[in-house]
Amino acid sequence: MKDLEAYKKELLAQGAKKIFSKTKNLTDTAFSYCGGCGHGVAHRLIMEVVEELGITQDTIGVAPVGCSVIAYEFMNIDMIQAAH
Amino acid sequence: MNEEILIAGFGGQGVLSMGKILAYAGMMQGKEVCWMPSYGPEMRGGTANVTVIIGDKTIYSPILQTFDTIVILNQQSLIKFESAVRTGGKLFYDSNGLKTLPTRKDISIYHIPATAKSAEMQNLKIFNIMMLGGLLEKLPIVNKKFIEQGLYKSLPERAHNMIPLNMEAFSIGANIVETIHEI
Amino acid sequence: MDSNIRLMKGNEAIAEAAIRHGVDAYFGYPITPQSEIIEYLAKEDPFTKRNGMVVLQAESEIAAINMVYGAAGCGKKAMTSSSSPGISLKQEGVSYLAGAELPCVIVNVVRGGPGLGTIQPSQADYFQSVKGGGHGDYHMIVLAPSTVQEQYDFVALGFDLAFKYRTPLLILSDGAIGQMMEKVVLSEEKPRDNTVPDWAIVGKTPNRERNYITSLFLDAEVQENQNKRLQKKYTEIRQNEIRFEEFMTHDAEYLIVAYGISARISQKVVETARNQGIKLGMLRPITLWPFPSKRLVELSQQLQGILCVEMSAGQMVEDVKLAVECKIPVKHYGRMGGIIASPTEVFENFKTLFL
Repeated sequence: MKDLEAYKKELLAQGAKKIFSKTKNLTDTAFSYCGGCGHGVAHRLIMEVVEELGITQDTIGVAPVGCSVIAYEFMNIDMIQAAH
Repeated sequence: MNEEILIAGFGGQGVLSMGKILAYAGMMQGKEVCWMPSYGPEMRGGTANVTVIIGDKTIYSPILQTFDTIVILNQQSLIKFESAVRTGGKLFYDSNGLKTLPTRKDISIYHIPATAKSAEMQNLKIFNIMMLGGLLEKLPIVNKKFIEQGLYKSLPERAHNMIPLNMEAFSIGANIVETIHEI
Repeated sequence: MDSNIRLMKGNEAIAEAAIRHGVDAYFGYPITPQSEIIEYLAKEDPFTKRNGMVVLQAESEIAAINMVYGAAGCGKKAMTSSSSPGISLKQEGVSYLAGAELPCVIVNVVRGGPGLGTIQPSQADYFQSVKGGGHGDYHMIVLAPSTVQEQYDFVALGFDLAFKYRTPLLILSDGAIGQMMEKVVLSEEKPRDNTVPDWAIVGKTPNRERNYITSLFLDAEVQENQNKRLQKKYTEIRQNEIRFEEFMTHDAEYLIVAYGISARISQKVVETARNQGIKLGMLRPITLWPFPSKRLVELSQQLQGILCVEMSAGQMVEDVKLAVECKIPVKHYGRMGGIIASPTEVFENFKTLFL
């Protein structure tokens, strides 16, 4: 992460512009989904919408069964895991 | 002492509510009470019985094999429960529909012709409270005024206009109870 | 007469206790012999007429327990009730509640089994209640009421303990106590408390880390640590929360161990025995888990034998034997399938087995 921060600074110093940043509704944990899996994109899109709508405080996530059962590792909102 | 009472008859005769009124009255008089129904899927026409325990002591078992007093309201109950009255205890019955009568000599036996009397008054629904009147005449374990209060508690409000008639039936019950055999 | 003294059915007492204790939600599905709980709550309609408590008839027992899981996750006081076959359906949810460390109160008004069984009272769900029921290494605190008053009191006690230890708690009743009416002294009605524990999922605010509730720990080492945490909690519960009642044990040479309705019956047996000069006493476990093993060991020093009276083929008797390490004779007497043994029957069997 340190390297990433340094690299960011370097790029900005070279005149790069920030055109995208991760929503605060995602944690810093890197997605562990397989290459090509759409879960990560879906998680990000949903979390962005929650932030845009300003409903983070009114949102509770329910992690389903399957790969996305660990959604609470990535979604930075109050979450509960549901039964199979 | 705690009085252990069983009331047994058909479902729909008012067996459970008779017990409930008795239990309410006992509670209002400040006594310990327990009302234990025999419950099952069958209701109207099936057998129904209820154990009522009233007294000043902590009530232990609501499940009993023998009783101080038994009120018998049909033939099946007579066959099943006559032997369950403890020696020296009391048996009350209504002879309506009975093919045989109780025969024991070691208990007191009382007859309350409540079905006939309530039919005469053209209101069979007051049969159970008439039985209760007869029962409490010979077994004064709760005060009559608490029976009236018990009725107010156990009947829905829409039936409260029936309470005076019920109290009349209660008094009639007390008058028509006959002693068959007393020890 | 004091309006807080009422003649109530055991089931009604549980329902009224839930409202008066300020329980937030009840989710249930009707089944004999406990349908009066949801019937009473529906009739009282606390959501619109009293303190706003939610009462909901779910589409199934499974739905009801998972609604409890959701509400408990939100830090709310949630409860459900059912009778034996319905409680079996709920076991997956109970295991999740235990795994996710969520507090709730579950009421089982036991009927005869196995299978759909009968609607008559039984105590044959003891193993299911105290040994697990659902999957995984977990325990629920199990409270066994033996009077209608205790049916009432144990709702409040149940929620206190469930929240204290973040654990599901079971009130193990039976059809007899559920259906019978006794005098109940009611407590004052408490308003519902809107504060929730800090672990509850209520919507993340910027000033705190996210809360998440799960029973899933894919890494086996993490899962083992979670199990160790649970076991530590169970040890603490064993140390602090054992409850029991003794009846005429001071000079007892023989002891009946019985809970629930069987304890009421056994009190009468003890009285009868004492009238005949037989030194019989009774120990009534109020918590079936944790079990009062230590007290049994102490008492066993003075005893010649123990009789377990249960409406089952003999389940609690195993815990009694474990407690006294079979150093004195431990026997069982019970009826099954919905038949309740009378005091006379129990006393005759006690004499046959021991005298």
